[in-house]
Amino acid sequence: MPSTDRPIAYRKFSGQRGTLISVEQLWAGDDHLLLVSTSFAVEQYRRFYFQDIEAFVIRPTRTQRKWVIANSICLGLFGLLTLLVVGRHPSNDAIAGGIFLGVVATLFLIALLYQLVKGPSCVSFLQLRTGLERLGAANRVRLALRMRDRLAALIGAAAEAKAMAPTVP
Amino acid sequence: MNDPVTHASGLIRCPACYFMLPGPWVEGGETLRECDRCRQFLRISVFPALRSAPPLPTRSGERAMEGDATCFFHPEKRAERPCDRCGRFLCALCDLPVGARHLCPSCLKAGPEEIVALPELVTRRLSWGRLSLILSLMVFIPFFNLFFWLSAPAAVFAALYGWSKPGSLVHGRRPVSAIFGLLLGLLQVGGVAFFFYNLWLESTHRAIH
Repeated sequence: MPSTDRPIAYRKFSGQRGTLISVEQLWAGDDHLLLVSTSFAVEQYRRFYFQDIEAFVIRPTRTQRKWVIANSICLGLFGLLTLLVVGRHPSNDAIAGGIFLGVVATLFLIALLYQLVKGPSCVSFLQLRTGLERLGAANRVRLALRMRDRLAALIGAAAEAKAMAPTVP
Repeated sequence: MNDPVTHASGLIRCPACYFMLPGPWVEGGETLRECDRCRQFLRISVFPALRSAPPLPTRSGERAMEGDATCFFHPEKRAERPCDRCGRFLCALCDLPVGARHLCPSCLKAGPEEIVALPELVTRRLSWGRLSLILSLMVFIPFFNLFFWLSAPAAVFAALYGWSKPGSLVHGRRPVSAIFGLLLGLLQVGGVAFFFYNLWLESTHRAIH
C-alpha cells in the first residue's frame, strides 16, 4: 500500500548544546536520529539510521573533577576572605566588602553545587558503519546512559516495525 | 537495557586513539573495558547492527518464475517489495532504501519539488519565521540597530515571503515567530514613516506661514 509523503514526526531526544552562534540538538524519528545544527535561521540536518548504529561508546573525562576542585578552592578562598574582612573590621566599608566577597563566594558555591548535581563528565560517541560521531549533548555520564537506554529502546522498536513491513506476495 | 543478553563480535573504535578493539561484546548490556593501546577507560554498549553484515553493494534481482509478482521496471525480474510512495512492485535492483522507506527510481528522481516532498532527503532548511524574528529584533542590538531601516523591511519581507515555504523539519513553520517578526517589522517601518510624515507636515506648515 503506497504511503503519502507526510512529514516525519520527531520527538526530542536530547537537550540543546552549543554556542551563541550554533546550537545542536538530537531528535528521534521512527527509524533514525536527526542531529539538527542551528545557526541563526538555518538548520542543517544529519541522520543516523538505527540500522547503521553499531555501538554507543562513553569515554569518562576528568572535566567535572577539575571544575569541582577549582570551584572548591575559590569558594574556600572567598569564604575565608569574607570571614576575615567582616570579623576583624566591623566598619561599614568592611561590611560592604564582606557582602561583595560573600556574593562572589556564593557564585562559586552555586557553580560547585551545579557540578556535583550534574555528575561525572564524559564524551559520548555513536559508532556507525561509516565511523564515529560525537554526541555533544551527552556530556555527563548519567545523561549519556539515559540516552543510550532510550536509543536501545528505539532501535528495538524500529527492528520490530521493520519485521512487520509489507512484502510482495 | 532490559533486552536479553547475547554476545556479538565485531570491532569497536576507541574514540581517543582510534584503535580497533576486538570483541566479544555484550549485546543488550554494557561492556566496561580499557583500550588496549591508550588505556582509556570506555563504557561500550553494542547494538544488533554490529553483528549484522552491511548490505551488499550491488544487487541485480532474481529472475521471476511463473506466478511470481514482477518488477514494474523489469518485467523479467521477481518483485521483492512495493514502493512505499507509489506502490509499484520493485525488484532488488529498483528497490532504493531511503531510511526505513523503500522507493522506486522514479519517486526518488531528483528535483526541488520531490526533495520538498521527501523529508528524508532534506539536509538544510532556512526557517523564514525565525529569520523574520531575528531581523526584527536587530533594532535592540547596539551597532546593528543603525541598520534597522534595512532589517525592518527585510523582516516584513521574510515573514510574508516565507509564510507558505516549508518550515523546519522539527519545529514546523514557526508561525508565532513569523507573526511576531512581521508585527515588530511593521511597527519599525510605521515608526519611520510617521517620523518622515511629521517632518513633511512641519515643513509644509512653515512654508504656509
